[in-house]
Amino acid sequence: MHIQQKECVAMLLAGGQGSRLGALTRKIAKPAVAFGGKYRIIDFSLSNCTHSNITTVGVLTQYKPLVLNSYIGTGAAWDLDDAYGGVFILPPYATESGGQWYCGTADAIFRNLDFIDNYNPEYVLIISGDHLYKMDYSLMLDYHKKSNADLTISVMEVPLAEASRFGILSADQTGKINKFSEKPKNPDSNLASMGIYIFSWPVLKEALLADSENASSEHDFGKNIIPMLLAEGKNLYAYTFCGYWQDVGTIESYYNTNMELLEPDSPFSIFEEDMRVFSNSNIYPPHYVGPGAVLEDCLVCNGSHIFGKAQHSILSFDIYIEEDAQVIDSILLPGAVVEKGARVERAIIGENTVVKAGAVFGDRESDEIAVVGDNQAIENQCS
Amino acid sequence: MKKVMGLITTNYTNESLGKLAELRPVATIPFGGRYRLVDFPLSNMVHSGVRSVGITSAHYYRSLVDHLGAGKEWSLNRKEKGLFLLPGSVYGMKRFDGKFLLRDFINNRSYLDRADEEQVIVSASDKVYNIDFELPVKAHRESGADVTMLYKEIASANIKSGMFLELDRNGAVRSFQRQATGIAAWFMDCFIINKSKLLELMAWYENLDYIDMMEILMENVGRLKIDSYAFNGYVGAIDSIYDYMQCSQDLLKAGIHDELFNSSKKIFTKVQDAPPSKYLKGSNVSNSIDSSGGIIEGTVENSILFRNVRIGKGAVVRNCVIMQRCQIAPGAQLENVICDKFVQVSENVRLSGNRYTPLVIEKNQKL
Repeated sequence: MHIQQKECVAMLLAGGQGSRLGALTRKIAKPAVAFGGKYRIIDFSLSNCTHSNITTVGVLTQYKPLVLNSYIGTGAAWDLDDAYGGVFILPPYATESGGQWYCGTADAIFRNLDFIDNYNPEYVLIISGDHLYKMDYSLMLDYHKKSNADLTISVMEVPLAEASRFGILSADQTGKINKFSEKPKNPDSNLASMGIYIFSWPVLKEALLADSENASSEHDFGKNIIPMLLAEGKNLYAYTFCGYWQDVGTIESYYNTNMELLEPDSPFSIFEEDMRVFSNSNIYPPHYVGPGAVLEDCLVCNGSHIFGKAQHSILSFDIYIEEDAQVIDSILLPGAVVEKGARVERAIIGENTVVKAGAVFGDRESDEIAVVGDNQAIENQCS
Repeated sequence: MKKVMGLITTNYTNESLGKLAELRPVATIPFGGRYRLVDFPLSNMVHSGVRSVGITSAHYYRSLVDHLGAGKEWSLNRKEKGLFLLPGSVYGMKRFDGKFLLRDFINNRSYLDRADEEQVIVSASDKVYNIDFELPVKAHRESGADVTMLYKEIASANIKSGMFLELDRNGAVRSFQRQATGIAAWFMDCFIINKSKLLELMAWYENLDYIDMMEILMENVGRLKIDSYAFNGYVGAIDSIYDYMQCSQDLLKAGIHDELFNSSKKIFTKVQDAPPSKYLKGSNVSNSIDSSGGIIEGTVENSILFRNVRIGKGAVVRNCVIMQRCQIAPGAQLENVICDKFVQVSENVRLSGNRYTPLVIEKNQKL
């Protein structure tokens, strides 16, 4: 097969479960989880690729990929159905010597060296499919080239108290990294890795080949590859990113990040026209707001019908709130239904889940966020 | 549905639509919050299994090409068959009489010649309805007709404009009427014709190419077998500014809304990927539809809001159609108004039309 050489190929890690998201990822991979009403989490990194002129994207999938695969489709929704590139779903595969799951982020890339080799790129961008941010990777690539780096890691400043959740690094004034530690107990810097890497392709290939031979390696970029390259004296540079970036690892951060969108000047600018976030949404008619409906402080998407009351909530596409129903401080995922007289408070209602007439789910005074997964029914306990 | 192709005509306009159709063909008048009128015949054809659709363009065709592109949203960007944008003839700047100009058929004869389909669904682009063409096509084939005209039976024909069919007991068309009263068969500007017969008629009338296909059918009522097919669903006709407002208001009735949009046959349209709409504290919206990207802080009643509309604090919008990217500043009051795209209404401005003559604010105006 003839393939045009590419300057930069993106590898998007989308195989993780996101187990801390509980019921939300029971049936689907974390990158496929709905966010902000009309999006799925992977929309953000795919849209970033498009806006950065990166049109060859390998998507590494593993955990429950059905929804994710069908959502990505040909990549056309993100203008990634490119004649000389496009989106490629890369699941684990069998070889003469048997098959194996991807075990570790570096292993997933290692098993797809052929894919990257086909494009013979100068650089490889490695990103994750479960982060929320808008970023122009081409600026990071410019920085990588200018620094003559072997590896550039995108970093942001985090509060020192939270630093032990991240890969933490220290860099000199020129941005050259001199220390890296994955999730340190006592962090001495607040520069956190965002899990976005640009490698010069020969360096990445050599590192992955060496790592694959190492039986004691966990085949993880943060734990193994970066420390190895640093020890070898390679040029590692930190690229400081100042925009909004969020890894919604837990139900609580998922909930809070959604709710932030309701703030008048929400820090995550999905409403801005620049670097528009694309999504593969079905064509739904505009939403209908019935007589007597109350909508305050809400995001509302197409295909929805609202007859009841919703306050401070995210209402995704194709949802239905019947008369006398109340939705407060909650997130309704696509297709959710809240029937007559039902009450939903401080809750996340999964896709196509029905809260039956008169049922109560969640409590606005509670610290806990009530969560129900996809395709469930919440019955009225009183009847 | 095999062996059927589509032909949608857009090369005509209508004075009664005033400023709404001044710089665009009727086919691309925005409608229903996110659609253009041409979406309806086009989606109907696609849902009925038509794989090849030709669209004749009007003199002002920028908006048509912008909207349709390669036909991706209608799954018509195909290797085989697909969407064919056909040049319409320039007949003066605009054409007011007739929606099926013979010359546009003749100039694009090769589109018809090369196709292997046996029937052509010919439709204008100013009526909104959701139909499965499979049934009328089946009826057409079974009856052995040359032409099958689609109609809707209506009770008070005097208030509708357009063409009416006089039918015999078996449903065959006996004549065409410009006016009717009482119960009448109202032509839906859509007919099914055998392609061979269409090509034959085009050849017969080649030297009279300025006439309309309807005139040809009228003249040949005795010679052709012209049948009819009654459609029982909702038909909205956009023949005037008043009609536009009425049809828009019809969308707020649950039955009509569900029939047009919520069937398994969705109306496709160009996707813009606007973010969700934001309803702020103090917003008071009732019996209205809104597309995405809006920021709503005021009162909205019985209205249609298109994409990326802003309704400021304390603004009141009643019985209105507010198109894409309009901004209604705080305290403004609008009643029975149609704001075309990009209109900006300043603070505390009051605008009102009445139910029968809604006020139309031209595209890009600042008030």
